[in-house]
This record gives sequence, structure tokens and C-alpha cells, in this order.
Amino acid sequence: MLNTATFIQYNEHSILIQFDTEINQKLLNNLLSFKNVLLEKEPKQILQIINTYNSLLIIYRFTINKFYDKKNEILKLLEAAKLKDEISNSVLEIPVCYDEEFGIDLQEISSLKSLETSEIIKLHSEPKYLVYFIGFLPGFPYLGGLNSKLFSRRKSQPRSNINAGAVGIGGEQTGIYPISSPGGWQIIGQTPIPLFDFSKSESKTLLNSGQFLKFMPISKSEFQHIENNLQDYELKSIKL
Amino acid sequence: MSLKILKPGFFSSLQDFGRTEAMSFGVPISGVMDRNLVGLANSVLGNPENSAVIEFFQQGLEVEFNLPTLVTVSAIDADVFLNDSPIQTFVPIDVKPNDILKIKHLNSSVWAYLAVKNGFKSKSVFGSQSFYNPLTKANFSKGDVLDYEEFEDEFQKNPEVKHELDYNSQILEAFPGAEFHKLSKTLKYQLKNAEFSLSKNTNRMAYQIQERLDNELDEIITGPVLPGTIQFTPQGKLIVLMRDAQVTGGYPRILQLTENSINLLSQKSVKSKMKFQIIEKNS
Repeated sequence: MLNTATFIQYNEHSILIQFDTEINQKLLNNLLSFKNVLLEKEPKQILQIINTYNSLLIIYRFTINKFYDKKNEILKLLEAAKLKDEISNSVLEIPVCYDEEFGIDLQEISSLKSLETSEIIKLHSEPKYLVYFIGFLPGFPYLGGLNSKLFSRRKSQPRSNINAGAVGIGGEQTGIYPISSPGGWQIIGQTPIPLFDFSKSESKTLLNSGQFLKFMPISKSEFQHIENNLQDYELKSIKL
Repeated sequence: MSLKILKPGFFSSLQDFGRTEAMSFGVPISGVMDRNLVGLANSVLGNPENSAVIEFFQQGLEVEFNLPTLVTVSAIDADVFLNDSPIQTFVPIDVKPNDILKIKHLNSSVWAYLAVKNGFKSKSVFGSQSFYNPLTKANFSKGDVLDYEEFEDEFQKNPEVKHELDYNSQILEAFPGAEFHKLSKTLKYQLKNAEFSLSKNTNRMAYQIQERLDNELDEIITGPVLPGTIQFTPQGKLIVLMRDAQVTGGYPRILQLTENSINLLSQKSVKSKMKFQIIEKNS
């Protein structure tokens, strides 16, 4: 896999490694493995590493003076690296209410794809989704695993405001808006669970790269009940 | 309570050099738009270069101090007043309780800074005091208060600190971006040789360039971006990501500004002319 890697000096103190290979769980596992190896070996040099579907961006604390030397150093570390299992072995259940009050574009998708709304909900809540990375907005998960029957073009007119917790479909992707934001995705439901608690300074996002999740359909009254009793609600995690 | 915001102007905020801890959670780096001016301001006061400062915009700022300390205003071209008497920029200024510092407006630059001895104190979120909504409030409002430490000791002015920054340059230095190699010869030639100008679409997230180029590149699979990344949209727009930029993006990344060029660009006003100087691959 390292033979598909392209190294690019991204700026004075960052190197981008891009892998030209199929995007899947195995690639993500390797990216996360590499990320952890580098962070372990060079904690004093590396400020942060972020991963996306097929890339690692390594941000150093110092200016990179000799890019090719640095590249060879990284390659040696990665060649020697023992790949570990970085993908979670459990699935987090995210409750989602697909009622038309929240699923404001269910009808549109229904007519676009000639699917009953019940069928859309079934197809959307069946699979387990892999969190590839968090980007776009604080806490926004890029998920893999959407059933191709649900691929839907984005709205021609983006909405100026989408609720925090809204679950949507954009092209071949599905995701959850962690905060209210403008957006062009088709909205099919909403979760009462906050993805990112901004009130706590050391809070982490609920979701992380390498984790699995599943959407669990809930009724409107269950939505309200969870929303009103958030502190008592415990997310279920199912072992694979 | 040690400092009170009397007039916040537009877009004023508390900033340091930003947060990298939370990028994996999708949180932007943020931080001061112009690190050169802030590094200078903090060195005038003998602070670490990334101590938190107040960043303010062209409309200026008015604040009242309630504890004695030293402050400095770091601005390329501003008329600054302490209790209505004109004072210099880039020098340490003694302030006493009830003193009022006023910057009416910036004459041609965009962002300027107020620094205080030992930096402003506030809660750090993910390793930074920088404002970023929804982690913190977005901007200062009238009546907001901000803490700093009292400072009344002797202060030896550092004679080495001089304002030698060149903000007249129109040259923006850039690394070839991750998708630069995919551009046609014509586009590469245009990027290297054409003169561009800044549109009025500018904010802490991104500065858009006025001119459009014919784009034949497809969108990319979403990948990492950083402040200074220049994205090329399907409509041919060039978008320069700035400090509050998202951490990932789906448009081709054709150029990457150097740190110094991000600082320089941040201070350019609408219609300013600019040219790119692309850094050849080094070893």
C-alpha cells in the first residue's frame, strides 16, 4: 500500500500523504495505524495529524528544511510499522426520529427515487456506517455505508438553516449536522443526541474516526422523551 | 473585571495563535489573521509571541482599562488616542484605571491588534483562547469585560523591536497545491503570470479572488485543507482559505500560501492587486 503513496510538501511545516487506492475500511485502518505510529515515534516533532478518506496531513511543530529527507524518514517509520486493528468492534446506536416533522425532505426523496417513505427509513436504518473522519463542521461525521438506492442529489437551493441533529443525504453520503448550519443536503430525520457538547472545554465529539454507528428509528414521543431527559440517556453500543 | 469594551467595532474578537488539538473533531484552527503584527505587538511587551490579543477590524475599537498595565497597539496605519491624546503604535504605553483607548478606524489595512502585558486571560478551549462560534462567542459586544493581570513594575523597553514589515508587496508566495499538477499548462501559466485582485467577499474563513479562470478539474474526494489553501471551484472561482477555515474540503487545492503570505493577504483591502510566486520544489 505504501507504494501507492504520494508525498507532498503542503506548506512550510506540513506534509500531505495521499494514497491512490480504493477507499474502504482497510485503507482507513491503515491510515489510523500510520497516524498512531507516527504520533508515537515523533511526539516532540509532530503537532497534529489529521486523516480523511485517503490522506494523512502531518503538521510539524517546526519548519521542514529538507523535504525529501523528511519523506524518507517517514517512509522508513511506516515500512517498519506494525499495522494494528484501529477500527472499533462495536456499533453505536444513534436514535433518529424520521417523522415528517423532522424528515422534511422524505417526500422529495420518495418521489425522486420512487420509494415509500417506510422503505427509505428501512434502507437508511439497516446498515452499519463507518465514521471515516470528522470535518466540514465541528463534529460532522463523514460516513461510509449508504445504500446506493438512497443516493440523492443535493437540493438545488441550499437551506439557510438546518437544525442541529438533522440527519441528511447528500449525493452518495449520509451524515448528521452537529450544529445548526446552512446546508444543501436532503433532510430525512433528526437525532435528539448532541454530537458535540461545546459547553465543556475538554469535551470530545461523540463520534470519532474508525467508529461504527447505526441509526435506530424512534417515534416523536420517544424523541421528546430523550430530549427532555438527556442526562439519563445512555447510548447503546452493540458488540460486533 | 479589568478591561471593558466600549465600542467593539465590527468583527472584534480575542485571538491567540489558534488551536490544532481539535482538528480531528472538525474544529478549525482559528487564531489571529496576521501573525506578524501580533508577534511584533507581543515582543514589544516582552510577551510570548502567541499571547492572547484583541483583534479588531477596520471600524476601530474603544476600550476602558481598570487596572494599571502596559499595552501596545499593533496596526499598519491607525490613529490611536489615549484619553483623546494621540499615541504611537508599536510602543509600550502605560495605562491607569479609567483610561480610555480609542482607535477610530484603520486607514488602509484590515486587521489590527491590542496587546496587553502578559496577555489577556480567559478560558482556554482545546488549547486556545481564540474565539470561534460555537466553541465560544463569535465577537465582542459592547460592555463585554476581559481580564488581564495588573502590571506596575519597571519595564525595560526592548530597542530591538522595530516595525519593518512590508505590506506594500503584491507578491504572494505559494507552494504548488496537492492538485496543482492536474492543471493544464495554460492554467499554470495564468497562475504564475496573471495579476489578480481581491473581491469584496472576505471574512475570517476565506478571501475570494475577483477573477475567474476556466476550470476543467473535477471536485476531489474530500481531503485536508489548511489556512492558506487556495481552492478552485467548478465555477472557476479562487478561494483562499483563511484562519477560521474548515479542516477538510472537496475542491481542488491548487496553491498553498506561505505563512507570511497569509499574513500579507489578510491586510489587503478590496480590489488590491496581487501576483503569485510559486515556490519551486526544494530538496
